[in-house]
Amino acid sequence: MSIVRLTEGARVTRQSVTKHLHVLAGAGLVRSTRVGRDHIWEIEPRRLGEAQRWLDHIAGQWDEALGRLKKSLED
Amino acid sequence: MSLSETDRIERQILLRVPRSRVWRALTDPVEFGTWFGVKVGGTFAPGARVRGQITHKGYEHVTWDITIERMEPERVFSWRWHPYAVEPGVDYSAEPATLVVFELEEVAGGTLLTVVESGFDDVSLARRAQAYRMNGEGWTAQMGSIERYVATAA
Repeated sequence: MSIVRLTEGARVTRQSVTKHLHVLAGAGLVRSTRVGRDHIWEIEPRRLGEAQRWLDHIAGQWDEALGRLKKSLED
Repeated sequence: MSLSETDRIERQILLRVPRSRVWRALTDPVEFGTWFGVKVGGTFAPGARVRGQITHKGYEHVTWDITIERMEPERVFSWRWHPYAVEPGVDYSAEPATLVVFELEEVAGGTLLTVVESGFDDVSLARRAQAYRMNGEGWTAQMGSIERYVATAA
């Protein structure tokens, strides 16, 4: 979607949204395409999938740690 | 993705021992270190910054660094840290930290322990992606590094 749509109803300036989008683009998380005078921004789902996998991984580490705690208390 | 899905992790476990026993396992530094996998340098107290060395084999060089928030005896124990602080030479102190909260509840059969880690959305997506590509080898390699780190830090 365009910057205009992104900032609709939000308490942020277009400049700050644009700035943040460029940072995200640099990280490969969003991409933009020119459509006439506008830039239309889209999420890169694969990258966000990777971020979610990182979260899932940390959750897995908590599962293991809690398993060790249970074993140490109950065995 | 809703905020709650990406911002937090929640886990629960039933421990078949009294609440006071669980509290000790969480807040006695030596006991905590034994199951968590860290040699803690210091004691746990509200507001205290505590550091330690990871004890998992091969990762003894990794430093564990937390700032304790709340300690309400036998009920709540919480701290802030950077679970993603894996790169050497990078100062993470200015980055947002995540919050880890342990809650203990007496239930039939023992103690229900809940752990919630939150604040992941504040870790900017761009910062994470950048960290993951620092080696120039792409996400896979960095995921491996983070994987090894969190395998030892948890």
